[in-house]
Amino acid sequence: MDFEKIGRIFAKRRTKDLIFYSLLIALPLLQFCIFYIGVNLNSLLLAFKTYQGDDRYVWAGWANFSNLFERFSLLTVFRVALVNSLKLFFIGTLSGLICGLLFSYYIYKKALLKNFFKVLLFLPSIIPSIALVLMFKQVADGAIPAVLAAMGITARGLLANPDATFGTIIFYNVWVGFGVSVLLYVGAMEKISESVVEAAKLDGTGYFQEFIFITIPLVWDTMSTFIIVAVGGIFVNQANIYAFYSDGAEEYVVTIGYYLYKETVKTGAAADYPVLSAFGILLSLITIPLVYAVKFVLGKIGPATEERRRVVEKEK
Amino acid sequence: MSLKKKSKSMGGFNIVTALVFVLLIVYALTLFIPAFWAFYTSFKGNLEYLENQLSFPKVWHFENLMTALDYFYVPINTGSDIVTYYIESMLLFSVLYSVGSAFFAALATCIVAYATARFDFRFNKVIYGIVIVTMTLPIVGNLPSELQFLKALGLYDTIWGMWICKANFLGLYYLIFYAAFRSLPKDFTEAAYIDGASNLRVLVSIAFPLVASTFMTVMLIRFVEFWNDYTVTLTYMPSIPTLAYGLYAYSFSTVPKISNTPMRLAGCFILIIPVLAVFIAGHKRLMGNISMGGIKE
Repeated sequence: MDFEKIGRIFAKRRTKDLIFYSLLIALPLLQFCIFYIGVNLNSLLLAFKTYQGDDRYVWAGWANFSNLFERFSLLTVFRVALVNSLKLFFIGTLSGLICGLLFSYYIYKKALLKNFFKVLLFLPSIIPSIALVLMFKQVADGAIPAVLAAMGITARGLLANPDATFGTIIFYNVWVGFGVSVLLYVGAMEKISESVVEAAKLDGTGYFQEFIFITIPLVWDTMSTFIIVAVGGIFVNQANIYAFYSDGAEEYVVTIGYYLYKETVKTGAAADYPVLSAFGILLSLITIPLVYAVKFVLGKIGPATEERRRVVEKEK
Repeated sequence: MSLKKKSKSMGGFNIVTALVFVLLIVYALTLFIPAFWAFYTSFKGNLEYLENQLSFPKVWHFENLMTALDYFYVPINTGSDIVTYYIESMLLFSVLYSVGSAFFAALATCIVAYATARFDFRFNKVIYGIVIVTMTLPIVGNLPSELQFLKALGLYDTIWGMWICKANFLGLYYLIFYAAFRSLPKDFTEAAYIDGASNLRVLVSIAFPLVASTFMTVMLIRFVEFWNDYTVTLTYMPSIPTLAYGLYAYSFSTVPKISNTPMRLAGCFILIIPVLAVFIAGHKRLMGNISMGGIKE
């Protein structure tokens, strides 16, 4: 009898919980259905439509894709943008990763002025990018040529010289991009057990070896996450170019992310929405398998940490 | 205690940190020297700047800042009319957009994380799966479709529309809240249930206050992100210029009075100084709690 009563109470509470749970997640879930699922499905449909004026679109089959391939062969901007996006990814990500890890190691080792450097590395990520870019532009094309001139070297500004422009933009993005990554790397490094480091020290491990064979393997998961996010962003990353040039960037600095953004927000872009969506789908078809491939490879070559061993055992 | 002491004694210099120290000093110099140059140049007259780009101002033109403020405006074409917005309006739009978006984004994430961490339903796995998959699934070029949706729903070019648009529970912050709720001992809430408290009461009076600090941190991080975003006006609300957009318009303005280096830099500092003040006041919260909030544990 008593058990039945308790059972009823629990069942009643379970129902109440379910109602409350549903109420809590209903609105956020609806938002997700509209702004994620709806938007992306619509993007897929839009790629097969054409603009009829007055915000109306009608079916066009594969026309946008053939139109797009025609543009690829006619316009050089796509090739340049692809090369630039890849350059930005490889050079920018690699140098950002190496410096980020080294800086984090420094802070983790509690070396001189570590708090000061931690704040300093974070600072550029909270200053409005538009202000930072504006300042950087004046420095690159105003102060730096003046300094060089004072040393007797005549040179154009870093951004004004087409040979140096894109390199300067990559440098800028690495330079201001340490903030969050350093915080998370330091967080991961602080979890490294001191006994592991101590044991290695007793075995006579040098500091370089410690960094490469202990620190990096133990923050591998955090590092992988950043690499995967960067791979996913290859064709989205507009590298602040819109802040540098608005919609008037020269062809030699265009990245695919910048091109897509610029074309979407320009006046009268509605007519181009279908082609842009088609382009987006093509790029997603390249990026999605790429991300999962990179994820797979990083998982394979990564060290067998305790955590991963536990996951593997669980899966078994 | 002894562990702490040990870690301190281990700290300091070794060959790797010594090399990185040099790198960090170079990094610090590349930040400070240009910032210092930009600061004093913003008080120079243009003629003096053209004569010598590197020298200190002979006469400090503090009025440059006032001139920059005067030219900090955005004319918006409403179709029938041209409305000019000055810095006060932009400030108001920025506050409404960033505080509102940050609040609703943090709230949506927090509520869903609470529901999935606190209640044991099968659907939790679906939500967790959605968060993980959307974090690594790169979808490119869906902005046109998003704009179309916003227009169809009447949310385009409105601030409250942006609040709704940004109020998703996806991403890293869900994981932070999830971990924060998971780490709360169940005894707190169980005791309240036994005393007859409702689910809502437990959520509002017990669970929320316990994660208030994480909530504030996430909200602050999102606030900074929204505050700095100049593209929101360009993309989603063309007739509601924010302060960051104001600087964007200012930096590409062709008005002769501000089309020179000292005046462009003076405009920069209008935006940088308040953000720096917020950062100095809140950097511990901005940079500290995020790892405490769950990534670390």
